[in-house]
Amino acid sequence: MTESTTTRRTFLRHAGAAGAVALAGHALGAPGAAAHPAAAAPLSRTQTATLASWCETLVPGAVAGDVGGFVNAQLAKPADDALLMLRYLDWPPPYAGFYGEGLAALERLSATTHRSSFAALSRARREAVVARVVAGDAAWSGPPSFLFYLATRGDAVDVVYGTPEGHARIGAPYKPLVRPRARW
Amino acid sequence: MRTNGQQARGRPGHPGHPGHPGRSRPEIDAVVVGAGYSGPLVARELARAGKRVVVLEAGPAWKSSDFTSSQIWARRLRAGTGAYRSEGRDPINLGFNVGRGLGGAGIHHFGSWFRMHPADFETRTRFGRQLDWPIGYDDLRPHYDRVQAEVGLSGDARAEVWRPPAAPYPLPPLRLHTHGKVLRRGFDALGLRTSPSPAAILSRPYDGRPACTYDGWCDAGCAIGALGNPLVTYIPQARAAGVEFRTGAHVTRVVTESGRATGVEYVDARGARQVLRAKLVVLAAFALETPRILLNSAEGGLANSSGLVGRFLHVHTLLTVYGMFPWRTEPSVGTVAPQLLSQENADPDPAKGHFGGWQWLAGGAKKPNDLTGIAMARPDVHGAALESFMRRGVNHLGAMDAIGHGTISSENRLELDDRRDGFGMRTARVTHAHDADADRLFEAARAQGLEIMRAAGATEAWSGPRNVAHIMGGTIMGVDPASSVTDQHGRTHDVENLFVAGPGVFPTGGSVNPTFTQVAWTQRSAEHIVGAWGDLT
Repeated sequence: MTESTTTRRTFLRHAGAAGAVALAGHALGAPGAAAHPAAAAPLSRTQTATLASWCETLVPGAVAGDVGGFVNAQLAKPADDALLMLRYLDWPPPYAGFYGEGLAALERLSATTHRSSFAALSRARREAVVARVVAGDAAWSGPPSFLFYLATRGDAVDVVYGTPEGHARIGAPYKPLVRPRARW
Repeated sequence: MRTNGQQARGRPGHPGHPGHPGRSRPEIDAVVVGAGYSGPLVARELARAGKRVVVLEAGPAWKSSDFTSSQIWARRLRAGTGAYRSEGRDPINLGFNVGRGLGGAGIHHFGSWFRMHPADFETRTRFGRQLDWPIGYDDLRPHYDRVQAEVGLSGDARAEVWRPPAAPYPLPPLRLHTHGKVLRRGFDALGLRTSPSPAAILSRPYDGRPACTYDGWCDAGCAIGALGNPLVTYIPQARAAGVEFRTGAHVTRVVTESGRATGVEYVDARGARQVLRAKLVVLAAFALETPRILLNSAEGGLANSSGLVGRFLHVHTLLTVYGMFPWRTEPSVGTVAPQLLSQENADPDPAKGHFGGWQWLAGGAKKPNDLTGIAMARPDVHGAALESFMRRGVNHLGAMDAIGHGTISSENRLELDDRRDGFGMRTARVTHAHDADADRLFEAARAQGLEIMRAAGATEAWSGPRNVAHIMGGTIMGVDPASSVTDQHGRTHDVENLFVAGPGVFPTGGSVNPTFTQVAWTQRSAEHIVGAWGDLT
């Protein structure tokens, strides 16, 4: 995307952190948002499979990087200890609801548009669903669709590129001062 | 001559009077709420003056050995924001800006330390815009000078041609790496001056701390203490002076009796509700939590006769400009603090068509992941195209940030919600919108940033969205009790032994990162409290 092809509207649509915050702020009626010391239950096996398939579509390598394991491990922790990028995007804990509702919305959109679960779609159709989510499809019903895209893309980026192995894969020097004892 | 405080205590009905029946016996001299930069600094000064001080911190007791080189693990260091929701036309990113635990936001801040310019203290007087500070640059200058020597700032005063009168930096500038060298070509080509960016990061060993290793993991917590965060500066100094730190202590309200603060109520790490009685209370819980505590402390808010607690919350305008270069830039090497500074456009004078200026911070280290990482330079890219972008980006990306004047308005505010958090406090709603000046500033900076990138040789140049950084205000200081919450030292106008410390007192924020000014102002305030102790208590 060069400057000449980038309109203000495009950037507002792909607003990154700023846009995500706006979306999160408008959606903060979430029950339980204020009282959050307890961890919520991790995702079901089906939800985890959908998440993995979705993240693999966004960031190839996410399944091999165990994105499902990463997200479930974080959701099982008290919110203050969770390592999800979502905590930077001003979505209130507990975070499991965000993932559960987002994945349900994804499945509904997939069923509406392709009469299939997301994980069973062809690559081309999965990418078509991604485009709808990013664009803010009217059929989406869940947490703000671009926020869901941004947060889960961030999870996938974490497991694919954020580890020492991930850095090495793309030729980025890790230069650890203190190498992490575990990936997460 | 007796002061107002002494006269008041002399009255039998005053709670400070020895015979007052409701007077609670203080357990300690001072309780300080929050263990970021400001709280431990105030506590240190008081303890060195012989006072018994306790600092209450809601988060965990971080140690430098807890930090690891990982943006994933670094997420622990920032506050989750269940207590706040952010809204408005231009909502403030809260979760990324707030700290958690000993050291507060100082643990993950980038170490970019600048002085505000003299004009930034009096924009109302000079330009008829925004607000004046109750003090000027000359009032803060000796404290800037002293703090830079205490913490250990690296920089090149001679090259920093925009720097106000000041003592030289105690350390030479940080090393310039490829990323900075590449971007400097763009500034040079356009005739824009640059200097090494000053930082609270050691270019050489200093005061028993080692020099920086330029690994680029600064915001994950500096494990060696080259970045002068509170864990290696004010917290150990406060402890050495006798200050007690209690972590996992969530302060829920300031306790008052007959118009004076008598301590704070908090929920301790075991979940038990406690009251700690003290002669003096200092709220240093950052620009969000301090007003939330005040508003939760009394019906209508404590120290809120002006109605301004929570109001005039403000931020800096933040823009990031990117370029992809045909040659290697090594963007992950160096410090997260920028390598280059340019304040050519920092003058806020509205004669140019809009009020406010900006500074360029160029060449800060970028890792592949995280909110400010390389993958987020193009949040729209996914699938196979992302892998291609990442392979190029980790070696060829250039990035720089514009930090600009923000919007000063009472409508930008923190208010209480009806919901309650896990400690029984009402949560808060934060509303923020930029004004037309900020809109114009953003567009002007964006146009210049893209020009710089192209002049530097970028084959692609683009900008991120308008964002915000650095939360300030909410308990602003001023001369008039009707239009401010505290006086120039952070003492609340309404409660004479209740102080606020930190960026929450800033009426405006200039166009520079606020930490250096926060610490210098806090030191000045702490000295005042020590000097006026008899009158205040």
